[in-house]
Amino acid sequence: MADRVVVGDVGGGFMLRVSKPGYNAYSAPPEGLTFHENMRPLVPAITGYVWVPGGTPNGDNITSGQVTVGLGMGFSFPPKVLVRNSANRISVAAHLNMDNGQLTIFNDTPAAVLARYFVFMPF
Amino acid sequence: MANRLSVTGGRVIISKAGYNAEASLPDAFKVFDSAWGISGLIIARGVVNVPTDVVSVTIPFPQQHYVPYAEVYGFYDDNKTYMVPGYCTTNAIICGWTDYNPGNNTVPRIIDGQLRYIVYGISQ
Amino acid sequence: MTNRLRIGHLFGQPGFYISQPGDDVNAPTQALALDTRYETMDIHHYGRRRYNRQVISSLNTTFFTSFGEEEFPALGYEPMYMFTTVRVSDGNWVRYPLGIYSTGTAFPQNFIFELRGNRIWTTFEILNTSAPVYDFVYVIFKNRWV
Repeated sequence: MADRVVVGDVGGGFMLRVSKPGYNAYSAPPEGLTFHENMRPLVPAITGYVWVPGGTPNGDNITSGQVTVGLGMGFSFPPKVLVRNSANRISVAAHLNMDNGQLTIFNDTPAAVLARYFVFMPF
Repeated sequence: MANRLSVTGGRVIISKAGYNAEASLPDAFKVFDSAWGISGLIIARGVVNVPTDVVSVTIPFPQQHYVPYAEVYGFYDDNKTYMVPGYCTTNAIICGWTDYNPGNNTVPRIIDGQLRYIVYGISQ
Repeated sequence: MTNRLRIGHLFGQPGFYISQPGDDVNAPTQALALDTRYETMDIHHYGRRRYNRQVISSLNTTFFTSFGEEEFPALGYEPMYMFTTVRVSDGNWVRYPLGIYSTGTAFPQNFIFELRGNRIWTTFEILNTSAPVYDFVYVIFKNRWV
């Protein structure tokens, strides 16, 4: 049976590996691992919650509700922003002013939603 | 040699090679920090072919104990791309405009082509 | 105190499991901070580019189109990627999730993004007489798409 989790000093170097089913964590190639100690992750620099007002009907469409939060920092490289809301919508729209860190979050549903935003930085 | 794993007071920090894992280490030098609360987990991702214009597409993913978050991109013609709205359950993405376009008698369709999706391991 | 760390079996799989603050790793109600049943996004390469813009006149409309190709270290398979555009004026605006706007002139349209081996090809149009400048931004991951 394969070793699936390795944590510790192995062969002179630190290893923290978790392998996928069927792979041995000591020897698996990168595609056989879900986690390893040399990963370059997206770092969730900033996260928070904010209420976003509901959209208003506009003929056949909805004009989105929106709210703006200050992230408290500027960005030189565009972060990856993910916004999930209490209506479980996918592909939620937002826009960010990188210079002043103002993040505007949109809501295309008629009712107000609680949005949880995540600002991920690549390093 | 650097100590790359620290488990102190319930906080787990894994550092990049050459750095000691400790709370004062800048995030840029960490592989993981449990204080982040969340990480870039990918519950599921892939490609779905859409052979003809449709009102809705359901994309299943492994059952979760919470409702995750997803992004879905549509591709049509020569790889032109657009965002696809919808919502998530604990085990599927329901794509389409059907449920949040009140008053519109002609619901926009998902265009024949391809959908690419990512389901992130983040909860409300 | 809440149990937040488990190295061992959970959900029937051996791994490394860390719950969010306040959530019990043995009976979580929220997403886990770390859940090694699943891959974590692992960055391979990223960049930001400003392409030259060409003016295209079609019928009575003027477009500005930007296009270009980026190379990244070869992986040998189709990786996951993220991309967007940055409007480089009055604030460096980024729109999520995709950096495009379905209607209107504020953001790029007809955004084409194609992975060709270890190259990314992109082209996008800006239908706006004031022709704001847009940068193309991309992140390539080591994780596979399919």
